[in-house]
Amino acid sequence: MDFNVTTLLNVAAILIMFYCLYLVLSLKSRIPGGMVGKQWNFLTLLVVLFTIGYLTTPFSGQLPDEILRLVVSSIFVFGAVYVAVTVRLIFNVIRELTE
Amino acid sequence: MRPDMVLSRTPRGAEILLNRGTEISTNQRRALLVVDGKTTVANLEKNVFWVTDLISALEELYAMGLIHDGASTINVEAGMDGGAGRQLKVQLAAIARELLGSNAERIIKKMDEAEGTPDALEQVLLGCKKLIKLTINEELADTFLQRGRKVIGK
Repeated sequence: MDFNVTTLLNVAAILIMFYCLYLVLSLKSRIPGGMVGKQWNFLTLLVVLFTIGYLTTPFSGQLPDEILRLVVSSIFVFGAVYVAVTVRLIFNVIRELTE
Repeated sequence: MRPDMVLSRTPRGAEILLNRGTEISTNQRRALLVVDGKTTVANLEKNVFWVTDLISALEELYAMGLIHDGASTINVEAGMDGGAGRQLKVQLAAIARELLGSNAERIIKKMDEAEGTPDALEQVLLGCKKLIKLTINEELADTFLQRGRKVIGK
């Protein structure tokens, strides 16, 4: 049962991440530059990184504990960076629009 | 025909395409089909290999009034209306094209939809400045606003 739930969550996460990848890439051509455009390239890079990371999760059982902990910690760090960049971007957009 | 131009079908162009009219040749029809209001002439030239001498075909369609670009639409309307507001929009569209190239289309569309009074145009210019700063080029946003304000006398 545990295995099924874990697999289901992994598959859901991978599908959602592919959807995110589709969104960031399709929006990229409409934001050639500017304040959002600059940050968008970095966000795209992070989404690509997450997609690759998520795709490896089905094989995480085969990794040694030490490596697995490092992978999880890395995902946490990049996740925090992603949230920080997104929040700062929203903050800048709102500041620009309300000026 | 400038490489950075983004062409769209005129209502007549769309009608001919739908009705499969015999007014245009097969090659011209193929060229009309690839005009989507998003892709620049340069990109069309690069990617559309199935139309013989694409640029000539586009020029013929342009001359027949079946396709247009954003700035020329404003020009035509300005000629018909003769209104001062329209003339201002033509000048603003020219500034947008000069500064932003192929990215100017969204800006020109916004200005085209606005009223032609200086006050309304100033509001649109402020909105366009924000749009440029956020999505096109931070440095050019202020230049666009300053030059636009000079044109409308603000």
